[in-house]
Amino acid sequence: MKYDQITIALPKGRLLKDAVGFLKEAKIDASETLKETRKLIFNQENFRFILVKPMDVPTYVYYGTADIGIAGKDVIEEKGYDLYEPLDLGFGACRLSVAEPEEIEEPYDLEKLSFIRVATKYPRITDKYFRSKGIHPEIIVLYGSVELAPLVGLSDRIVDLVQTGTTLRANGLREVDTILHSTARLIVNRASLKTRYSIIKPIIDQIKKAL
Amino acid sequence: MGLTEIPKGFKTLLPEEAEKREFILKSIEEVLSLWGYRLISPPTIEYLSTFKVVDDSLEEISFKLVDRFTGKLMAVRADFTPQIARIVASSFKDDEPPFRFFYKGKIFRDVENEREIFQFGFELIGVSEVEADAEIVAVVVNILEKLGLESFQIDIGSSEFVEGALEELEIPDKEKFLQLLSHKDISGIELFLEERNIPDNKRKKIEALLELYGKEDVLYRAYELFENEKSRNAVKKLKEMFSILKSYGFEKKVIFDLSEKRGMEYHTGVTFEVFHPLSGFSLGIGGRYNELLSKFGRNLPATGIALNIDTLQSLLEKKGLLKSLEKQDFYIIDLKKELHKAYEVSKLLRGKGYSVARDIVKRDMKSSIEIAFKKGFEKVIILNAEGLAEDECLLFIKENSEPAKKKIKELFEQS
Repeated sequence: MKYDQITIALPKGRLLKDAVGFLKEAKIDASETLKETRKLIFNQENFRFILVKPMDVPTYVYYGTADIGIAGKDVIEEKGYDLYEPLDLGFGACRLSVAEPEEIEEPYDLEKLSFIRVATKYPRITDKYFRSKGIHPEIIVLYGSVELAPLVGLSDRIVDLVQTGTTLRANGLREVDTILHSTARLIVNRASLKTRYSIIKPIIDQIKKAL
Repeated sequence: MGLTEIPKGFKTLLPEEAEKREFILKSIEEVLSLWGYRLISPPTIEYLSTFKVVDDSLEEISFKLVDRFTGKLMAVRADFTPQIARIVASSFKDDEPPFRFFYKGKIFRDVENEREIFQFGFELIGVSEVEADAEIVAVVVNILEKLGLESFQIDIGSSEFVEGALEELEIPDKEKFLQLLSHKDISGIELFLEERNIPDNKRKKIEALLELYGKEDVLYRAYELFENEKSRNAVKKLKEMFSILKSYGFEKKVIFDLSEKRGMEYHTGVTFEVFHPLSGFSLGIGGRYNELLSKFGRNLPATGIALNIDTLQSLLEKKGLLKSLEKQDFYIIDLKKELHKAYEVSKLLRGKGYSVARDIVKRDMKSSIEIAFKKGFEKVIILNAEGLAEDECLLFIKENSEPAKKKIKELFEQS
């Protein structure tokens, strides 16, 4: 492994295009990753890009397999790793919210709840949030289509990512509480920032200038 | 639950890994002896209060049990440093400082992943001068170089500087703020300031504080940025330390980060953290703890560091620096199970300093030979094979090679 090569973990899916755009500002060309191929690793001069699931970006960076990554605040919080997150890139804005069916019998009221049954892809954040309010959460972890859970009686409520709210409304759900506002962040492995300071700091500074 | 199931977070080192670990420990010990440090071996269990008085968080993460003699809570060691402090304050209470001690062993923390961490640490107690901190860095550099590493960086910070800065800025909810700093979480900090209506001039300073990491220039920027005595004092010490390290030729090994507070609650001044580009995690952490010993009744300044041997070992492994480990020399297979002869031959070879093991299991010769080479023995001796005289043996120096007929006494002479 070359010491001057920098590995960047990029999230597949909705954040990828903007992420590549920001890297361009720092004169890093990651456009190859946007082409429809099944490739997961791309080499470009002194950079190596790896395409991973958004939820996995912090993991690759924390273990040092990638030096830098671009990930949503939601997944950074959910993973809870000791990482540096020196830049808020601003795009991919969304919020992690509590939602419930419009016709629920007893509407959401934090003051009155002592127990809550929720389905979510974010068990860690959800658990921490409700316990900090003195509410015991029973968490059902799902990996997709979380909106379905209250419609079929799997849970009373859900904690899920909301961008515009269209999906929620289409499923007869309404947002009742916001746990976290999320945007895409630049994250950096701690050891990488210290040992490859002269390469990584200029990248951070250039992207910062472009913000 | 099967009987082979093991609890989360504890691991076994198999012979090869365990031998490599011993090699690492020995190498480090050699360096520390040269610097005049002496081994100290604290108990595995202490009263919880020994740890708690030093850092509240140690109570939360330590494994606890009740002492049936006193009814007091005891803790399995979750940190060596408070123990060293206690020992110095009691067993050396009338001795003149400085004290130089090193220790090696496991710490246990009841946390999510690794609940057992092998540490090698050393402490220099009784010296308040910056030279002591520079010595710690110099010893770390010596150790890592001896192990064959080159590209490591020692990240130097200062709890004192950050504390001073936070006081000058009159930051409320210090703990929360420190946590945001430790992640260089700029947007989190902006939100924090907004929620607390912190004025703009302070924001600018905080933004500049977040940029206080990098090479030597950090020290100059830091000095200009904060005017309080604590912070300026801290920077002065760091400058002094840097010039000492420069005179040792270590300036390229050092990087500064004054924008965050690392280490334990008891760290009061300079802090160190060791990094290598091929390791995602730090190899060790330490720093100055001038108020710790007074908790045990002896007011002495101190500084030190603990290296994480688990992380260090996996880095050395990755770099291929642990390959040249001792092989085993002779494997003796006695076809007649004439126990006395094999014992005599082994004894003579051992007397010459060779490692010798005997095949005691009953199986055919071919598989015994195969197993011997697989286990890493360099030579195989067959005793009492057909057609051999009383004083002869067969010597295999490679698996599948033709054996050489030898007089037994030749084995000792040639080698």
